[in-house]
Amino acid sequence: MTEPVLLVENLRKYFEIGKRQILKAVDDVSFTVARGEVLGIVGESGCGKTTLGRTVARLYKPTSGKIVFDSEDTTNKSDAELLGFRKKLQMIFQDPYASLDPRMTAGEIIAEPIDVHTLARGSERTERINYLLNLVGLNPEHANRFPHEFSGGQRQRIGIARALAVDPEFIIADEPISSLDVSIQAQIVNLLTRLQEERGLSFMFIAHDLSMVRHFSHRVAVMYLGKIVEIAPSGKMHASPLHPYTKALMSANPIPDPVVENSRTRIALPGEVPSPIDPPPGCRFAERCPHAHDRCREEEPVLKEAETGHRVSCFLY
Amino acid sequence: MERMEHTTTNKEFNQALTPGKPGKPVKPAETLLSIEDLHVSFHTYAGEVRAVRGVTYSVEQGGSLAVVGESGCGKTVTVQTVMGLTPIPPGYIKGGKVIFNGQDLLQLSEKQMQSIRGKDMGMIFQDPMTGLNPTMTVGRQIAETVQRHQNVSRGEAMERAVEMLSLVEIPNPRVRANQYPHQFSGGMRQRAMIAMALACEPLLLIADEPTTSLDVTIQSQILDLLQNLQERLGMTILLISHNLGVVARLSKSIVVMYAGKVVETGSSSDIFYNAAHPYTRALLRSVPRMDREIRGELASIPGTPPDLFQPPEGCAFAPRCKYAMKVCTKCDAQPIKLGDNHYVSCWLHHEANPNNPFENKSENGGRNSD
Repeated sequence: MTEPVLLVENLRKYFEIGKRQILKAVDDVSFTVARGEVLGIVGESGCGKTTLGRTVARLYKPTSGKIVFDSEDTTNKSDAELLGFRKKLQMIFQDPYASLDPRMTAGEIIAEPIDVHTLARGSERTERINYLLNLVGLNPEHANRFPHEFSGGQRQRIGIARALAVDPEFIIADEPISSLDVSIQAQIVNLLTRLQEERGLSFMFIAHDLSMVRHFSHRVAVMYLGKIVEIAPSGKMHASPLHPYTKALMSANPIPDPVVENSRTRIALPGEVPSPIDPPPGCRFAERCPHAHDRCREEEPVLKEAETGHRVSCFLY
Repeated sequence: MERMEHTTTNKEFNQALTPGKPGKPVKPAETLLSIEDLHVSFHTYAGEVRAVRGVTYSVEQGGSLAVVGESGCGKTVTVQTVMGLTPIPPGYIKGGKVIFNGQDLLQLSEKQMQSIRGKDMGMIFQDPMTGLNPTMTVGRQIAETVQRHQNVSRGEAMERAVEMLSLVEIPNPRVRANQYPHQFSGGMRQRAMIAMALACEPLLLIADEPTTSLDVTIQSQILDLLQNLQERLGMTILLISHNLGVVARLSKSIVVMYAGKVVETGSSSDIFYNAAHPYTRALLRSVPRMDREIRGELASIPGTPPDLFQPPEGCAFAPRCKYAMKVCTKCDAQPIKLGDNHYVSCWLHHEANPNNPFENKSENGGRNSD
């Protein structure tokens, strides 16, 4: 885990939304992912975690900043130039209903990336499809079925098989389990864990479920209004979060244990996440923060190391 | 007029609503809602879907009961039938009783149900946007409910709406009452839904996945509000949820459903610490906990829930159950009493089974077959 497979520096992705208004979905985000590492990205809706994933995958063109993948700068490459990059980096999407073409069979869906990258033909291609179906816990006979014939969990397995079809090094999974039932979520996370360990895959695991993120990720980054506010190894983040937002987020996440749940002290955050259009000056969390003081409303804190490997963007540290 | 029937209860509830007075349940420690052997099916082109297959549970006055289960287990269809909201056809109530406040709701006409729904029973849904009319101001919508059920003027109803918005802790309620749902955020909409559901002081609040579409910090705010209202008003809450964390926080007793049936019922601690049904146990173990490090694999349940077009003959969980015995695939287990209010429908706990794998783990008090 020495040389990072992914390096993101000062990445910004702004959207113009008419009337000269700018939505700063991702605003000055920097991080790295080491080879074979799982980086969890958590945050609430609108924090920019999905945009971050899509920009890194180059489904969006970054507004500014730098993305280096496998020692190659992909920030400004054209779609044609990105073909090789796409073979190494794949995505798994949240909604297994919307992300599979209803008019293609499972086999065709999995074969598409194989054909695009001309990885196999004829019987080798069929073999590869069958291998992938087996790998994700489906049967070769499922290849001829259409997405509507599968359950949500099975569809997500097809999405995973499609991502693995090109034998990628890096997978960006955007809320891959949040539309699934609890018992099925565990199946999918176990599958991802097994694949990650066996193949040494690197992951960006984007989710809002802190407990699943803790379970699956080596390191976790917490986002708020387009910024990373804290990044730390998974166990550390959960045992001793530093940023007031992370603390509130953790304390709001219910624990399935009535005794623990009823004896916890919770940090209730007032109000809601402000709009990413015209975010407040200074620290973006200041207006909801129980520890905010004058400096927080004027000056923007930067992400800096509070402990080894634990970076936080807050004036308290 | 039907609407006059419950004047006394309304008055008592009004007293309870007045700040400073402790919440006073209308009929202490009585069963408010009891669902008995309810069967609901849907007729579709593919055949009959047996969504609810003999569900029995009850909610105590002032209690908070949660129904947990995965999608398609029939938890929502059951409460929709209670509310008289199951579309008929394609829905079809094959049998059973729903006794609410002393009367069988299944025997009532749609008109009679209309006078109960929104008045004695309030409901909040998962998606607050679908429950609100986008073309009406939020205050007007709440006032409409009040006018429908209470003999009040338009102005009084609007006053009541503002009062309700402030009860659910919406800042600037008077301004907010004149705004439209699209001007509200997701959390605020859910608060408005709760305000509407409580406007006529219902005896029972049915909350179907009330926080599922919300972010965790907003979810926490809504749960605080519900907890607070329950303590202050002594309100009875029937919560439908798949989130075990939410259930742990809000509910005192729990019903676990699987494939259209109740598999286990008990107090919150019975279910969380002494779960007896293999499904309940597997469900609890398949959720990682934020406060604990789990190494290795999560306990997952293999396979998927059964097709309710052709429900299995025996226990519906048997094909996914690692403890399944021969009898499990042949006959369905009847509820077996394990504790005061703890019942499980599983053959493993039958007195004729010599090797119950959970024997030492479950409370052994009064294990009689029911």
